[in-house]
Amino acid sequence: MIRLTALVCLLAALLTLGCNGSHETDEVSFVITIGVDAAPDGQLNVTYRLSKPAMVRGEAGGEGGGGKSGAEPSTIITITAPSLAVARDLLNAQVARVPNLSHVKVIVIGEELARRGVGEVVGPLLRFREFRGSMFVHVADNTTAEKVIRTNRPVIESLPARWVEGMMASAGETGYYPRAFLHDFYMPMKAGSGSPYAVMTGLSSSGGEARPAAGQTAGEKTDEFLSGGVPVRSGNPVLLIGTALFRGDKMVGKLTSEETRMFLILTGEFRRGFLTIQDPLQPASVVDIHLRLGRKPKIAATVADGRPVIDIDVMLEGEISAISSGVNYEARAYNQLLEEQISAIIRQDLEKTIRYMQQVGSDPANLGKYVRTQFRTYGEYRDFDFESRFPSAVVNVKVTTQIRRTGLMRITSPIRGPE
Amino acid sequence: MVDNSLIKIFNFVKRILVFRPPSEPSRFVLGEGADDGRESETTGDDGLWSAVRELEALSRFGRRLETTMDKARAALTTGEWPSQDETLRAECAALEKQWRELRPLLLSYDFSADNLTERPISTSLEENRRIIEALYKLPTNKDVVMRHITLGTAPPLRATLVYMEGLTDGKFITLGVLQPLMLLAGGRREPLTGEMLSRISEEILPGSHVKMLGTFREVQSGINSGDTVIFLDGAGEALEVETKGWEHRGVDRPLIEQSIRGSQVAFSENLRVNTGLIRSMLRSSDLVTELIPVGTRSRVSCAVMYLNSVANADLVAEIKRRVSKINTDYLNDSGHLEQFIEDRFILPLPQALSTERPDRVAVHLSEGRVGIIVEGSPFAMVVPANFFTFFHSGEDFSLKPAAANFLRFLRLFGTLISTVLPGLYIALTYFHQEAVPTGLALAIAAAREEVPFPAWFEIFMMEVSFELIREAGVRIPGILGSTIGIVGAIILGQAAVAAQIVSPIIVILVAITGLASSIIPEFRMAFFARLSRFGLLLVSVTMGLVGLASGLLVMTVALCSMKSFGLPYMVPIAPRTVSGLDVVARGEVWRRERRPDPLNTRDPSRQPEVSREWEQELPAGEDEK
Repeated sequence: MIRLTALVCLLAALLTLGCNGSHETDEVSFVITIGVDAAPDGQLNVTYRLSKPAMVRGEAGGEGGGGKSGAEPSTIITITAPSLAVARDLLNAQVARVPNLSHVKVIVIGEELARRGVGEVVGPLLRFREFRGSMFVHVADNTTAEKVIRTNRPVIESLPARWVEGMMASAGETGYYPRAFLHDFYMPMKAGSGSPYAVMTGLSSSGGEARPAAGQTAGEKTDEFLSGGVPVRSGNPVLLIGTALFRGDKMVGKLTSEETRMFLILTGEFRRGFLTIQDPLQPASVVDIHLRLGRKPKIAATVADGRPVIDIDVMLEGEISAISSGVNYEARAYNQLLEEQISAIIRQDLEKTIRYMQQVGSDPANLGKYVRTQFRTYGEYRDFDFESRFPSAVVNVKVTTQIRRTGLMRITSPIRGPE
Repeated sequence: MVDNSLIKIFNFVKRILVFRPPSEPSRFVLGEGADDGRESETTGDDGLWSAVRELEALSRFGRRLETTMDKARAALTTGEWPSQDETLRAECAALEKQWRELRPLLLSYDFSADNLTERPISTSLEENRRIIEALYKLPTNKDVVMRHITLGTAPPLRATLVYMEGLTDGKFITLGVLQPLMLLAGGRREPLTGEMLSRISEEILPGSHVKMLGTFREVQSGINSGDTVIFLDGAGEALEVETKGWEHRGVDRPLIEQSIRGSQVAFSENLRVNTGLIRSMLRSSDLVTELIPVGTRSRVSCAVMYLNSVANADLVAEIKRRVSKINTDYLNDSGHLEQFIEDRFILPLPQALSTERPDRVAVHLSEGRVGIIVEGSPFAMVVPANFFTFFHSGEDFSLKPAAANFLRFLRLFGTLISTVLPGLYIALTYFHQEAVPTGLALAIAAAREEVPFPAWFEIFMMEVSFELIREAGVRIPGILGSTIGIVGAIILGQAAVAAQIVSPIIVILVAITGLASSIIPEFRMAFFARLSRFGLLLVSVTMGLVGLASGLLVMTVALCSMKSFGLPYMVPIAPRTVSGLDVVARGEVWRRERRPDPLNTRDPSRQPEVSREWEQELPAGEDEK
């Protein structure tokens, strides 16, 4: 009797539960990228990049299948709708499969919409279960998201999704763009300190001519770029470079490649990157240093006369990767010169970057977190209103550098040749 | 009728078109039979037949009495009285004994139908012969040999030997039974007394096992197990001489449980050889072997072996109780016996370790478990067993812990894979596509794009064909074995994918699953993994990961509630006990001080704290200083 009851319960459970939520893989269509742009009358232009599995197989070299090699592994559809949800339903009106948003890698926001405010877009992104907090947030620099998505032709990767994943995974290699997850983007909007930030993506429009976004710091030889000015000639015109700064849900400024590094140094996420500096002894030559953080920056804050005072202590470690002049910087006496040069450059850059952040009133590095410790209750901190006082904050930056290694050479031997 | 051509043509066409039942010899049909059913045996004319048998016995006694009296009269008249005095006296004594047996009450009991087995051995050789003939359906049955001899005693004594052809050693019967009886007994001038039998067994028969039998039940079990039974005229008992000697497979290498290290000997079909193998590995006077016969129609001996000073007395008593209280007609295998004595449980999991390796049995006996061997089965059972025992192999303790533990974890991992993988795949691709990396999700989708069936059906189809191949591989005659490999590889590996009936991912999945289930050392445990895979697949198809988790939960609960001969199945995980460093991972051999705690052995200590005593001493050669 008990067995019979159990059997009946099990059958009832099997027949009534589940099943509805299941989809065969050939019933769904995976959306890889979503682009959101401002459209007239407060509408949104929503661009979807859908992957075409059959083509993926063809690309992978499988024989037999319907895939023709060289065919696009994905297709792009743009829909104008008042909201993301409506856009998804309209998408379903065209595509014969259920759009599955759980594999969206990146949401690209057009600059116009970003400056208008993204609150209305971010809300549903976090609430609807198919969207994931681990999506990346990009802002189209000086262009629309639709254009970025339509122009994007990954050179090496066959799958656009792979391109996004690869780009974000290798962000730490240079520090020219941050890794900005949707979750990280959303949290500062409601938290008491910090500001949202996003990766800037854009099209290289300079045609191979370098158009630096800002002048070089004294002693530095690296140019600072935004996407439009990067001197690349062929390949994928879509680049990731720089950081979009937000205040609240509105975009207020852009950090260049170099400034993004400084921002990452402040958050302690700067992993490594090359720095090219002027040779301290032979100003015509350059020295390449492979830099990384020696430790997380020590940041302490106090409040004096109603102004926050923030002390930042950065420690960098470097490895010499090129000395074009051949000066013996490997020796202790000389490498101190290098260390001082690097420290000075980074300090100037840091100060400049923080000054810019203060100017636009955005605090992506979450310096306000350190000021919080000066207050006993959250109420007092809220009354202090750090956000409005951030522009007037005093920031003291101290940078020390240690050259740890000299690469695989101990000394530069002069190159022999006819004198 | 006119036999014209028209009629001929008509008949010809008719012959072709009209159906005529083919003429064939009448066929044999296995019917219910007139004398089938037990009721007709017990009722009806049975009373009449037993009365006939009674009368026959009485008349045989009468004839014997008459011949004796004739002999006595002849002796008296011819004057040979003194020489035949002893013979006649003995004859008279025998007659007297037989007369006592023929009292009416006993008679009606003894001669009732089908009671031959329970009858005591008669003093009349004639009666005994008749009973043996009735029991063994002689002379139709050609296996049983009755050999009539006369012992050269004075007076000459008639005797009958009964033995089974094929089960006995003919040379030994000739030399060890017949020769002493016929030659050595000759010349003894002794009267037939009551102690004749015991004197024969003490003084004449050289066989190693000789014993006295009282009933035909014992006689039958002796003959059926290859012994020779000797009936003597005038004695109410019989002698059993061990003459076992049937053909059997010799001791061989293990075929099922092969190992790289460890002993290379396996059980065979002979019970006493098997017990001997164990005893040769566990040379202890504590090792007790009890023989319990099972089966009403064929008495199969089951040996219950245990270390008396270690094994829990209750455990031994319970196992003996269960084995001896089996009422069945025939038992042919240890797996058969296991089902008769195990606890009933819902999950088809093995409750006793079945092994063909005497070394494994010896190890378990030394830990306090009990071994059971069934005559004719080359597999011994070890009880009680817990879940983890089935993932151990015989050589685990011959390897270093690191190697053995790696293998053990691999086996458990394989079990997990083989039960869960198809369900997990279905749950993920049906319900939780976000849990799969994008690249993989797209690869799965791409592979499935051209396949016309739902994914669960693909898996089901492939699993079933894999099971078909596996079963066919077992059943196919060895000569045709390679066919299976070719067909399996081509159908599963190539054609199904090329025809886009299944996606290549499914083929990989099923292959891994099949491979993983083969890693489990115990075949029956692997079988459970195979079965539960289908159950988990079902709940995963309908309820996704929730279903899979529920299925595993139900399985865990069921496993935890299970017992094997009083031992909780999941011990020492649930309930938590001291493991003795041999559960999933095994420890260093010198650190295993205690026997498994849950067995509650009489002597829980295996070895002292310090078992590497040499470490406490100085190395050799340094003690002179």
